[in-house]
Amino acid sequence: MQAAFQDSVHDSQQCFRHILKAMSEPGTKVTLPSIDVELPIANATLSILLTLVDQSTSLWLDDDVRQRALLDYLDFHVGAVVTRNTQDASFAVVTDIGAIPDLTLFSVGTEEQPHGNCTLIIETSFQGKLSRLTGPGIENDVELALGLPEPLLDQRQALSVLAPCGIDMILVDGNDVIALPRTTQIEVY
Amino acid sequence: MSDPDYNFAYLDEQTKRMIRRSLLKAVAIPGYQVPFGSREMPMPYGWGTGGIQLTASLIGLDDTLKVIDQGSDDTTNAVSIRKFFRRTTGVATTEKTTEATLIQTRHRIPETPLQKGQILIYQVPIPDPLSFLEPRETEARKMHALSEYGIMHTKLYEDIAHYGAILHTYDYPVMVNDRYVMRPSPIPKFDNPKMDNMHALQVFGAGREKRIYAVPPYTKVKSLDFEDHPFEVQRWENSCALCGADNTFLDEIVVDDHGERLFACADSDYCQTRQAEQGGQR
Repeated sequence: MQAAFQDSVHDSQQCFRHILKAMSEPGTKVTLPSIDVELPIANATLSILLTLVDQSTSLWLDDDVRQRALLDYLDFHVGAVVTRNTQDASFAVVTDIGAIPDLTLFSVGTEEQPHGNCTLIIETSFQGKLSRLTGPGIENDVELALGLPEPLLDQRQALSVLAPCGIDMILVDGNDVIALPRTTQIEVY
Repeated sequence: MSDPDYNFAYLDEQTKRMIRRSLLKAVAIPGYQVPFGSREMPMPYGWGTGGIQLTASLIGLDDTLKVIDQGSDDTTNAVSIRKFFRRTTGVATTEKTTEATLIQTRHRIPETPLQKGQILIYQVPIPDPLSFLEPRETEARKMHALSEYGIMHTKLYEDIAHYGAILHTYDYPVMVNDRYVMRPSPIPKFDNPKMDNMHALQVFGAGREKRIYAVPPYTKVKSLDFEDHPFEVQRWENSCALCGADNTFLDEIVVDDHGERLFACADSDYCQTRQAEQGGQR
């Protein structure tokens, strides 16, 4: 079995603070410390799972990575309940962005419990068209490339009428992370 | 050095993960109260168990912690919480607002404007602004869901009709991001304008009531009011007797047996920094 965090207490604390910074300042790119393991998911994805997921959360993985080696690893280090049902997932990992399921298949929470939504961890590369982000956590606006396909952005936009329900996204590119909470508005150029 | 008999920052890792997940949700839904599995802490409810659990889930070896109680670094609650974290984490503590990365507060926002990257952690006794108006939590939750806050405006209106002014001088309700009415914890309404578009992240923990909520940086926070009765903060005729500041929240202190009074800044760090700048001695 490959190792996880060298120092689980302090490494997960550091990762959490980076994730919190990303989530409270959408569009801010943070870099998570790397872990020396060989698994079919990005380094930052793994750090996020090790930091936030445990036996009390359900995890959905896309077909690309639902492999024995990763499942065994997560079973040992994280203990997450891996589910095949997108509706049940409190966290979902998408490594093949071309094959991402329709966002409406994931839980968006309810009006009385909007925190019951799924947090999507999406692997992409921060390249391509520039997007302009506005919303809570952003002073004026911020421009950057997210690398998200337009149909996905459209689906996300369509969910905005459900606010405060919605999907929170954590985008991953290698060790880098950008978070898009549901309150962030995205305008693509 | 932290006390080896305890896990770092007292809480176990699974509890921290649970609180961290709730905190991320709270940030993603500004002003919404996220329920969490509040733990028993080695101090009674009412001593800031919610704020302490948040701080314990946030704090790391690189942090510098400041703890204030009513603005002051040297009151009982602040001293005991600072000591708790020094023992269980060994991290650096400070009284300087500008040096702190984490500031846990009971009932004040520091006078020195907070910076990007700092986190302000509020201790909250009662999180729901509707709880005194609608005691049934199921109903209050529904009102929040529907953004149905007529009952709150009626209360504020009745204050004006009966007394000529809105009576809240502390814990004055605010609207966060045009969506949720939120209780800013019992900070004086003097501090309310500081919450609006603050550079720092604000997080709120209610231990007994088991709720976490948050306001991300640069988020609109508006104190509820009416066009013809706009929100106003407290003003004093005096200025601080120690540092001369005329724009801070003042404590009234009885100084002798004859009822002689003195007004001084509630924020001890701000006041002392100003006194030092003026070359005065404490």
